Amino acid sequence: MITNEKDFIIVSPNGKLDTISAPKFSDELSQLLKDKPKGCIIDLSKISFLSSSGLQALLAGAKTSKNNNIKYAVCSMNEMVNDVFTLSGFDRFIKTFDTKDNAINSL
Amino acid sequence: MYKISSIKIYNNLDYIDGAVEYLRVVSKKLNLNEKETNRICYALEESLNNSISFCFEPDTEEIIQIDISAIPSGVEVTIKDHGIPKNPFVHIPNDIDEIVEDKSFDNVTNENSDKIGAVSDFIIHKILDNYTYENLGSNGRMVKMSIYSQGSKIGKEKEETLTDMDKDEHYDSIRFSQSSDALAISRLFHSTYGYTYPNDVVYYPGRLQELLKSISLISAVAVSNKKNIIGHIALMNPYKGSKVIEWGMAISNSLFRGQSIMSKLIEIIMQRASSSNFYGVFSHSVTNHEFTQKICKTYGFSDVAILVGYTDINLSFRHINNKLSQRESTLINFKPLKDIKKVKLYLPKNHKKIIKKLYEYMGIKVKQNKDEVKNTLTQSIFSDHITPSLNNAEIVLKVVGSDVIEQISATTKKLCIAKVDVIYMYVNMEDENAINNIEEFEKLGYFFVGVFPYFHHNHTLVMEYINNIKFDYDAITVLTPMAQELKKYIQKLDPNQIGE
Repeated sequence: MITNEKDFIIVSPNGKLDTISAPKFSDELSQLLKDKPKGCIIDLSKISFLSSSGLQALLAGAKTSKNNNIKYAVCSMNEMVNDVFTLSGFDRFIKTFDTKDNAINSL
Repeated sequence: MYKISSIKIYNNLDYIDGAVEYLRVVSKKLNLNEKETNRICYALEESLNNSISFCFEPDTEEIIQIDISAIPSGVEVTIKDHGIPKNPFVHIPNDIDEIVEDKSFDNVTNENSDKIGAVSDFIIHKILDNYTYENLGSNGRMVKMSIYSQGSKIGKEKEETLTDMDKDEHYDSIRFSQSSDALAISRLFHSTYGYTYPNDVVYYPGRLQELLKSISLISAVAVSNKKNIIGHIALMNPYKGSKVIEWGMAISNSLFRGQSIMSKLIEIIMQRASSSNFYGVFSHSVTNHEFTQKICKTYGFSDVAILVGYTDINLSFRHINNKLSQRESTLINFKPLKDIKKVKLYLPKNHKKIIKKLYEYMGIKVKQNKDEVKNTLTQSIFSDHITPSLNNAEIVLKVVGSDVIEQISATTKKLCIAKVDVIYMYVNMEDENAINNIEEFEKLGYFFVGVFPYFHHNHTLVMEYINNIKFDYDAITVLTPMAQELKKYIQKLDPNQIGE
């Protein structure tokens, strides 16, 4: 699902971000970022499983955003998804927030 | 360990959910909490996802076998498949930062299975207690992953003080342990070491109890006149099917020092070792003090290898040592238990002299094997295993094929991504192909650190890779002239020392 709030696009994938869905997600995210919004927030509250492929899709989005001066963050991860994100060290490269509102207000 | 179930699925992503949900149900039944259950389930899902996506030829139907076993205080999952026996870690960067910064990731639609495999492996290493990858050559591959229930770990024990102790309490006797002693042994370790003892089995009474019931741990305890356990020592199998046994887990309650408890414990355990069927007994003697090395010398052990930086810097003897300045190195002290006078081995030309000398100290004469064996093997077989509590890894090279350098190079990179500090590689000196590759291993950054008889092979050469750490060899204390010579020898080979 994609919504807009305060010049931010909010991307809310659901289910699993795995080897099947991650490439498609990455393509769609890439298309959205071509419009160069002020910011992009990936709301992961409905993601139950984040695979390494999913992590890399998120990372690709972060890089595209950085190259185009788009603010970028992920938010609302469940405990396991958060574990994967932090243990992999990806939180050093992508900003994370507890809630979508915190992300919008902080970016 | 008792197996509880085995399931088989096809290499089709649609089967993953069922397998993961089954594991979730079993894990809960085995008392893993929600977080532990989520972690082992994540590891299975991630591993199957990558395996099915990248390790099978398109449009082929293959079976993947998943064994779920109850282990003392935890769950072990073994995944075996006969897919493409490729190493998924070839051509990967050296560091997670490098992966993340790699510009090629801007286009993830061109999925690169090698890099995905590396990230996947890195994450799984971080969330589990044990993770072993075994390359079985043409028989495919096997992954073992396990997690322990923190709920079954011993809780914090209050430190005993002299005032807590009954003033009339004193050493009474030594006896072999019973499985019912497990909790008291765990308590003794915790009150002495906190949670810093390298072998974390001591903190899980359930695991200890199972080991005591089996023959894989022979343990003796010192008991006070009040029937409290005040000392412990053990002979442990370092791995299943080992021909050698390790003495260790030696501890005595500091409040009973001066009563020769440790000497009595050592005496009984050495007698037991001598009457066993093992080929040898060894110890990891710490090198920040000489106490263990002196015991080994007394009991006729020889110095055979120095595992530089074997244990993590945070692991220490709570009541004995100050904080360590670097990872602790251990001297492998070995004593043969079979009367072997001579052996015929393949010897690498650069280390021939020192190997002969190390064996000579054990009373074994080494003759160089000059028989030439034509190597027609293409695929290597080996395993790699990380011990998270020590943050080290080991590679056991079982069969050496023409792909060995490529495979070991890739595995080394994988282990470096997992941020292990040191890697030990065990090479068979009865295998000409293995010994012929020593110089190539050295070009990868491995260096000779000694020999280790009957450890994984009958006659093992030990090589080490240090992941970018410069050790202060002056802080490694070794007692005997042989050990001192070996230390100097190793220091000269350590590539991280070059440029001094």
